[in-house]
Amino acid sequence: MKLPALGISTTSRKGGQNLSLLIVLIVAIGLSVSTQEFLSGENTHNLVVQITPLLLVALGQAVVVLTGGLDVSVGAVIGLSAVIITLPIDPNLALALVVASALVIGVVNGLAVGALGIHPIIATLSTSTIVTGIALTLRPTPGGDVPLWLDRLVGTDVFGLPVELFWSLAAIAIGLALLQRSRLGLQIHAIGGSQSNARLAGIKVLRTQVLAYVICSMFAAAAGLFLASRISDGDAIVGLPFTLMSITAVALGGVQFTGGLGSATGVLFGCLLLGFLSNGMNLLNVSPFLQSIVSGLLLLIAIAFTRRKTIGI
Amino acid sequence: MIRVENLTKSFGPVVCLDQVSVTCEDGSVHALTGENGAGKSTLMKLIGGVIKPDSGKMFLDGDEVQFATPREALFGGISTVFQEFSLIENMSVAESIFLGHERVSGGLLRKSEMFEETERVLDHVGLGISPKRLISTLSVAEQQMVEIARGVSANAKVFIFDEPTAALGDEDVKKLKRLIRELQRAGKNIFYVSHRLEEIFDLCDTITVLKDGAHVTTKPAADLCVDTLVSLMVGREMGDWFPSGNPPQSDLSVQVRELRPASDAPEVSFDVRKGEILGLAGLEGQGQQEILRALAGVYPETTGSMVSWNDVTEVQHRLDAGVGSQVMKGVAFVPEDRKKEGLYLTLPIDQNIALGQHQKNGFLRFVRKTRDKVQALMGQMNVAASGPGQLVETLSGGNQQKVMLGRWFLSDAHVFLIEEPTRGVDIGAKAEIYQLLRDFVGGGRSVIVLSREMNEIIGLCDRILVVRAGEIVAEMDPETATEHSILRAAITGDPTQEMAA
Repeated sequence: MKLPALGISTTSRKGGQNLSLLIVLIVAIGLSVSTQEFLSGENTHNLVVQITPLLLVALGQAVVVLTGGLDVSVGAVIGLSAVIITLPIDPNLALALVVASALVIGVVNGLAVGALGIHPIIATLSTSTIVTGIALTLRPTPGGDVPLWLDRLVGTDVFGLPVELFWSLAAIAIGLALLQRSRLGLQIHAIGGSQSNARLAGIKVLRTQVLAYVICSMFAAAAGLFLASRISDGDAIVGLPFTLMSITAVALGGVQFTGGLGSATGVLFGCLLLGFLSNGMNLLNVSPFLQSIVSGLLLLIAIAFTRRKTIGI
Repeated sequence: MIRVENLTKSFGPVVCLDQVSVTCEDGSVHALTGENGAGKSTLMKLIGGVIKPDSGKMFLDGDEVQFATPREALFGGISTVFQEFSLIENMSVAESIFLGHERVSGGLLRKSEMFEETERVLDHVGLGISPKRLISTLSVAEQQMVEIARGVSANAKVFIFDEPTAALGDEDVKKLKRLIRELQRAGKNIFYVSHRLEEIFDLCDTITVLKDGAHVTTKPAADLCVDTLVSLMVGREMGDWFPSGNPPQSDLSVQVRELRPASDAPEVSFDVRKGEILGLAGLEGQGQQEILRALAGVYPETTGSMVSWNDVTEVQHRLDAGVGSQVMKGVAFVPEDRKKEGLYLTLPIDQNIALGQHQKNGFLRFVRKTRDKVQALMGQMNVAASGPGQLVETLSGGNQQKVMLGRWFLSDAHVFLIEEPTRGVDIGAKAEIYQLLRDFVGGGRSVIVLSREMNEIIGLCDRILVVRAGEIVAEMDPETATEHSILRAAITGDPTQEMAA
């Protein structure tokens, strides 16, 4: 594993986060100058609402990427939790079911990759298909009602600030504590650095991998609750675009896809960048089709910067 | 004091270590030496908990101990500085030292405490770097020091150094020696695995020699000199299964000039004649493999020229153009690790062999059925298999190697480059493979082989080049060469003079 060429430090394994921050600032300044709306109160509020679910998913995705894996089932998990929370059942039971289903999906993904040695993309693509199928069976068309407690947690103001901001702050705080401060975070970085040497050091590699996928599913489930509340609907396929977006945000945040290098703050910068760009293109009236081309190119460029040492994952 | 009794370890049918007993006293630096493949590293891996012995016991300060993992061994008192480092590049120095036994409260790391402890240990081993530095930013020597610091931090009693100076410069070797002497003064038991004899005589007080997995002798270093030590290391049984062939012709088969496998490697030039099997000998990791692989087209930075003659046709080679280009020009490469680098284990024999033939075809050419040809070839080579459809992974090592060779026989190559032609091959198949190579060069072609087994080099080859630090230091005639003379040239770079201790 080579350290990224830019922003080299001899003590940091935060990947390319400094470069990401620089680009975020350039884009933000560029949009502030080229459009009048970008810094307006309404637009910044929109930005927070748009970026929050992406940030939730991307932080979870980053945990898996840091182990050297990838989770393409996050979009499906978002959809399933949005469907379950809007089922006409006891709200507490619904929440318990959301948590339990995310746990099961995470464990299955982790075991498929860690114990069975299935390629992460194939393993999580399979669970993704299964989970989306279950969600669509439960609710073929969008509908249902969001429980009252959840409704209050989205779309309101707290201390004069949008409540979504607090979702984001909480997610970042959890991400930072997990990756920078906790033993589990260290072990996640270690197996991303070298699985065999981590094993030699006595780290339980399989357990750590499973936990990483579980954490990722939990973050995705939280994003599902958020989205269900925001659109006041249970929609089984609401999350699917977030799979690729979360991978793009993680890459833009300077997390290395070989694993082991990256940071929660970098993921935040990646999400901001992706959010600013899509918001900015809307403000500048760029057609949605062109936007799709741009986000695809962004992923390609970001991945090229974090090029893998070996082919395959 | 650490004592191992009757340690035995086999991998499949190969006995790597046979009933070896060794004792290391407190405050002793104990050298373990022997030829390539003598079992030194296996013994150290058994003591260090990397692999488990088939039988035998280990006593640390009188108590019997058993370790399932290197980590158990470390906290049981045994610290190994591995040949291949076990550090992780994206971890900081402090994290490396504490990985697997982090100081935590409530799942959160107590970072400052670990940094302080690391600073104390680094200070102890005399390494003036920040505990926050990432491993990937450290030099090899510094990484080694971190491994030692890990042992010091775990308060290990036994320190194992497996070829520690292989990747170090002179200055760092001095530092390491100082540190080893310090550990010695602290009453630790130190095992020093090396085949660099000058270092052994400089550092060690006791020397154990292993040969073919068996214990030869343990003596105080003062009772031994370099020449007696070398003669203890060599002397493997020479088999009589090496086929004799016609002497090489006078025509050249391959001419290599000013070859550099990498920009910082020394230049080598040599010729191979038609009908000749040329052997590259030397201690492990001395550059002979790089020379062979450069000729195979493995390294794109290779410079230098290679010309070969296929019958009377002169072939100019481009060594920086890749393996594919060399194959097209009739140079076949058989890598050491045939399972990883050579064969497609999950495919049948005929497809593995047919690959050689098809590699010369354009990519739009139709693949013709080659089963008949393969069947005939399998008969000639005496491959023990149910038929051409048998999967290669189900074959024995010897038969796999025949399939590997068969692929290139069928491709009409006129130069074979072979690493370890008989690794993991039983004796019967060895003789057959030697005969196949003899028959191959008999038709005016040539083979360059590389082998860790000195007797194989002597028995099989028509001429031997000894490589040391990437340079050809001696050319020998196997009629007169002995394991002793090859080893001496490989160690000192000087084939003629007596070595100084």
